[in-house]
Amino acid sequence: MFGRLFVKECKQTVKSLVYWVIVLILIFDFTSQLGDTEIARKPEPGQEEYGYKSSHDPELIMKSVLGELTEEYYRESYTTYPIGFYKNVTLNEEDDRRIAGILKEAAGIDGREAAGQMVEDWYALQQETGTLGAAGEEIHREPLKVDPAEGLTYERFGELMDEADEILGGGSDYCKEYRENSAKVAMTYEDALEEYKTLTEKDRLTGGYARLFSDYMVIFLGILPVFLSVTRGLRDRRAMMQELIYTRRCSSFTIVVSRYLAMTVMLVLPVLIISLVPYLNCVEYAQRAQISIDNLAFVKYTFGWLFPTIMVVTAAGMFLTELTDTAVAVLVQGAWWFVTVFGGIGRLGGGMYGWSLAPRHNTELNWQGFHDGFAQLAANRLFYTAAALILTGLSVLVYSQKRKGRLKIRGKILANRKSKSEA
Amino acid sequence: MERYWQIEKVNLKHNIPLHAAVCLLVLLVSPLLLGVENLGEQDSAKVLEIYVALIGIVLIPPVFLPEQDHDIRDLVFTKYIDSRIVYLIRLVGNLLLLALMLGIYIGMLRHNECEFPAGKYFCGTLAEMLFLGGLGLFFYGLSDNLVIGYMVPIVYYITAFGSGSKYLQMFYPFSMARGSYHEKVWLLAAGALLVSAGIWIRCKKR
Amino acid sequence: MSTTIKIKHLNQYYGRKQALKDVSLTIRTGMFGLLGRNGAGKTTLMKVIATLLPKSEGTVSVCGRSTQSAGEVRKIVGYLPQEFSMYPNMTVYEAMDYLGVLSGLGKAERRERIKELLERVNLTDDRRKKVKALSGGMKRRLGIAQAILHDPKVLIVDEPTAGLDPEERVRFRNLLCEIAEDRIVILSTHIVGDIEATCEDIAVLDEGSVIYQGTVPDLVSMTEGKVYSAQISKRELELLKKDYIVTSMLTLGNNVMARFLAEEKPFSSAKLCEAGVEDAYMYLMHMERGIPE
Repeated sequence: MFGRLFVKECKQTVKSLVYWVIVLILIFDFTSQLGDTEIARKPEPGQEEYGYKSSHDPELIMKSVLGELTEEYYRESYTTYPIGFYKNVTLNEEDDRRIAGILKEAAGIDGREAAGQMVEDWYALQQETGTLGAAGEEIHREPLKVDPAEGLTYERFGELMDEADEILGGGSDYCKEYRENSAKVAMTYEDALEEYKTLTEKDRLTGGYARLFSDYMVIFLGILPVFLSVTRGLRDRRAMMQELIYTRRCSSFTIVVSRYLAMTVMLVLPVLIISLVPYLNCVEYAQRAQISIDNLAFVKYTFGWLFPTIMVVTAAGMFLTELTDTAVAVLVQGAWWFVTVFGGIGRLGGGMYGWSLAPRHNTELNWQGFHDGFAQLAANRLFYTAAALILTGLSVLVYSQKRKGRLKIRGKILANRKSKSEA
Repeated sequence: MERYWQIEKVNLKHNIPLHAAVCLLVLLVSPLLLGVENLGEQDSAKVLEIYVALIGIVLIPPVFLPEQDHDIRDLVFTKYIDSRIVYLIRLVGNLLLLALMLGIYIGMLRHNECEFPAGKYFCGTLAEMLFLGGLGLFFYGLSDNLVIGYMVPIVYYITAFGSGSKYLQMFYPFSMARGSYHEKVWLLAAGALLVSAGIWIRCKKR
Repeated sequence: MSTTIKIKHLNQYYGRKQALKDVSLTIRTGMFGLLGRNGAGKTTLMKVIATLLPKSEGTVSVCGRSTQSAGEVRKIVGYLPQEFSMYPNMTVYEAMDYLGVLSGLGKAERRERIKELLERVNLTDDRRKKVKALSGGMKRRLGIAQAILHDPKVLIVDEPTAGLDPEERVRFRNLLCEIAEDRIVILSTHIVGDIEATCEDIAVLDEGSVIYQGTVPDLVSMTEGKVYSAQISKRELELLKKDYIVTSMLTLGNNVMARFLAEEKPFSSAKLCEAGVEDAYMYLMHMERGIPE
């Protein structure tokens, strides 16, 4: 029964308008974002620049983070991005004193005057070396660097910065994720070559591009599945078919799970097909450059990275629709998506996956970051998979109760609306 | 006139409280998510264009919702008040509600010492709301499916964010943050066109 | 295995409102009619039997299976709600096939049953039509076909003849009678004619209580010798209505041919008539509420 029902549900999905709109959006997403991506070339010696990379040197990190703190403390204005939106924080007296204490311990700078002195000196130097224009506009700014206090360990530095971040309400330049990426150094030819080698050898080319592919697709997949599952969830009621289905012998488990499986499979299918395009690009490049690639990388990333997101968004939409018989899941998912995507703006570079619904990795490079963040990413993806299964289980429960005439929530909330909304 | 007010009263009382509550919630949680103090022109525009304008998507498409059931629709369409007028009244009512919420929000920003031209931004944001909501209303009318009515403007919004002005040109919704205002005029015109077309299609289709 | 539906002391509440009051019924193979005005509790009772509503108090067993174990009951019950439709974009055949899968029928079985049933409800030529293109009567017939798709022991149909034209209605009744040969068919209606033509056993519900249970002839015999008809003027009709239950009338120019109930012959021009189900039903309803004074 399950298999036949699954096939029928897939056929129904193929016939629905919403499904094809979703497919079109995915295609558009891919072509607009990744359509003209060129496969990375091997760097040549003698190029003008090779880009920047984050330094992991504790000394360098401490210097640039403390420079930032000194400047912001002096200006009495802090910039944070709690969910990716710019947020300006000004502190009250007590918090201001706490930051002063942190700055004193970390950099030996005592009070606003001392901080001001450092900033003025740096500013003057910038003008002298010509990196600031006459009117003060930036040409190429060398950020302020402040030496840490003598004997300050990197651990203690971390503790102090965490405290500063907490005072500022999170999302500041001092939180762990941002500060560890704050020190940028220019890459040399050797560095660039190393990156390229990592991409072609460790990632075998397709690995890196599959991650970039996942990065772009996951944004839309963080919301599109909800439209499909809400439409499906409302279809029985719209078609006045609920009671005909309720009185069948088929178990609620079979009905709900076959629908769920059909939706997720039908959603992952176009993703797999679209991934053939970058895959073939990689194949072509690899033949010319004589490198061996991982042929299954796109499949692995689609199921490992993207499928959990498809699963949980579909399941959440299904659950809320079953529970309320309304389209409210769209609004809920919209809010969830908004917070996820804007909250992830500071973590585009990869390696900082956290518990995001849509983990980002906006580069084909940074294999090291992926490698370091892999445990977190795996935990994240497993968590959402488990959440999806739990939500599906709850949907089965709600469905079976509704079938027996219990849990008529819509009736209760909207009972007085149905009759009176005639005007 | 009294009759029209009666229609709006029923709308306010029965049709939109839930949606209006969602809008309020969206605005009320904003200080937790983004900065609403001491913002300059550009950052104020961001808050209004990228965040506050979203409530247009929440509040405009449900104008058609009460008659989702075809039996009710048949009943209402046989009443002697033209259903286009009913929809228009609801739409205007919802727009006024949006304007009210936006106005209060802008007042709050100004109170928090954000510096920006309030009147200009008010009109610009309202035009964007009308456009995003109108997009929803139009496709809701076309497909007779609220989910699609939400889907199209949300996807439009995401596209605007991803590909930006490259694809959307004069219909780029986040232009004020870049100091450009003429897009808002286009959005207003397109929004008006979309809601009119949406209502026309809805009544035509029965 | 038992082939009866046994309902004992069933009470059903919607919040504070009591929809069914101490209902006890035994329903055997054949057509069973549930009669009552709109809102009497017919649909509620049927939904409880079809496991679509949880019972509040009492016991309901369908062929020996308690409605508590909904899954067991669903296997042997077919249900046709008063208002229903199917996915509008499916064809008649596809919709039947979909519901057949949900009833756990195998592929060959489905093909055979659907063909047979569409034939029986006269929809064979329309099997490729979309559901949204069907007329009201066709949709009803499709409804019956889907309800007996899995050959249930019990068929429950809620107001099936509402909205059908007279010809369709007769055809529909006959179809139900055929189906009822070897199973229980419960039919609810507020149209007395439906019951008269088809049912042996009936129950009459009023405000949630069973006010009559028995055979149709027994019901009719309650009003034997109490039905009169008379040709009277329109003014006299108003007076007649005050004292007697008028069950039907026919206008003839300035006069009216009235049919009414009376314990004994009320005036000389009144003629004794043979009692019908309609008369008996009216009598019953007014006995329950009190005869107008």
